[in-house]
Amino acid sequence: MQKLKTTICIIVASIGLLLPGLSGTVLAKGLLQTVPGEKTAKPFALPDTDGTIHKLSDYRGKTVILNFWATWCPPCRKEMPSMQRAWDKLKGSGKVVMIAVHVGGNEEKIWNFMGDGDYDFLVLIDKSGKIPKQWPMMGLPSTFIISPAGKIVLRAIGEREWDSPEIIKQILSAGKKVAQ
Amino acid sequence: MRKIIILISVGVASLLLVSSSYAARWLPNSVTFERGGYRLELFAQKKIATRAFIQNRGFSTKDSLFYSSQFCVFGSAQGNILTRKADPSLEINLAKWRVLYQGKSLPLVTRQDWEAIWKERGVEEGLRTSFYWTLFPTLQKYSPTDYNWGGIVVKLPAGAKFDLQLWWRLGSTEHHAVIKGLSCRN
Repeated sequence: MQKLKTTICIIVASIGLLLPGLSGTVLAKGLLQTVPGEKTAKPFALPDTDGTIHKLSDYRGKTVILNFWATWCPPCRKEMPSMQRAWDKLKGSGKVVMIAVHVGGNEEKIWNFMGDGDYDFLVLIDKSGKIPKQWPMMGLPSTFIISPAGKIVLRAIGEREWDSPEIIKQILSAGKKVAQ
Repeated sequence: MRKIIILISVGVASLLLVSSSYAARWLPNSVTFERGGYRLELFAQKKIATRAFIQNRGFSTKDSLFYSSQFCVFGSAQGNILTRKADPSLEINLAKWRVLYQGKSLPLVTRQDWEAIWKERGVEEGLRTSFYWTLFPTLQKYSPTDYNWGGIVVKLPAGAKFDLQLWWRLGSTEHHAVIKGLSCRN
């Protein structure tokens, strides 16, 4: 009788622990969503913090992690360290570029922020704040993964833990999408 | 029997942990509302913080005083806390929210309203666009685990107490709820 009780206990506990997995893929920490139709990324040309102009098309052939952020946006600030850690893992391949577009603001505010961290990914400034209005996004932070062929393949609304193994895997998979 | 109850509890607790762990990180010290896959966190901003925030964006003292003295601003984080790919999407439409105050039903002051207000006050386009991104999107769909952040603005005086009627859609089902007793801070 005691053995039967123990067995029932183990089964009940296991069901509780396994149910989320049985009922679908769990996105427990917030992964990246696939973008239906893989739309072509809208081109732009923006200055970096030194005034050098960068075109999105300059990075065709590489996977681009394109993040829209602002220094005044708490979740944007919160995800920056994990973005840097992800960048540290990815930059050595030479196949991935990370671009953070600051929405509005000026160089001084961005330099102040960058000075408090240890960031070395590319930061561009959209002083007009108009570029993100041309992208499929409504708020900050929003991030898009653009394939080497220039298609938006994945996106995140809200902050993520960018250096999680699952997200790194998703980014690297996006790089395997070949030009159509 | 006691063992069974304990282990059922462990099982249920593990389910709850999976469903709530994602949402546990948004805004500290906020009023939290959660139902089904929808979660809202709200905190009332002090007038001085509201003023400082937009003045720091480049708005004039005159405009920052107008904003902070006539409007009540809440920081908010809202989103879909469901965690499976197959779960339904969430739609939040602030245009359908209502502020219930002294027997009146008032709309929120949304991004679109602010565009007209700032334009009328002669605020330049760059600042208007910058301000646009500080507010919570008026209408947006959220896949599982997606959330957004931004200000929610109501036209009420400091110290006003009101109820907030929410509207959201999860999958194809519309939902309403009322958060009672919110206050605008001084």
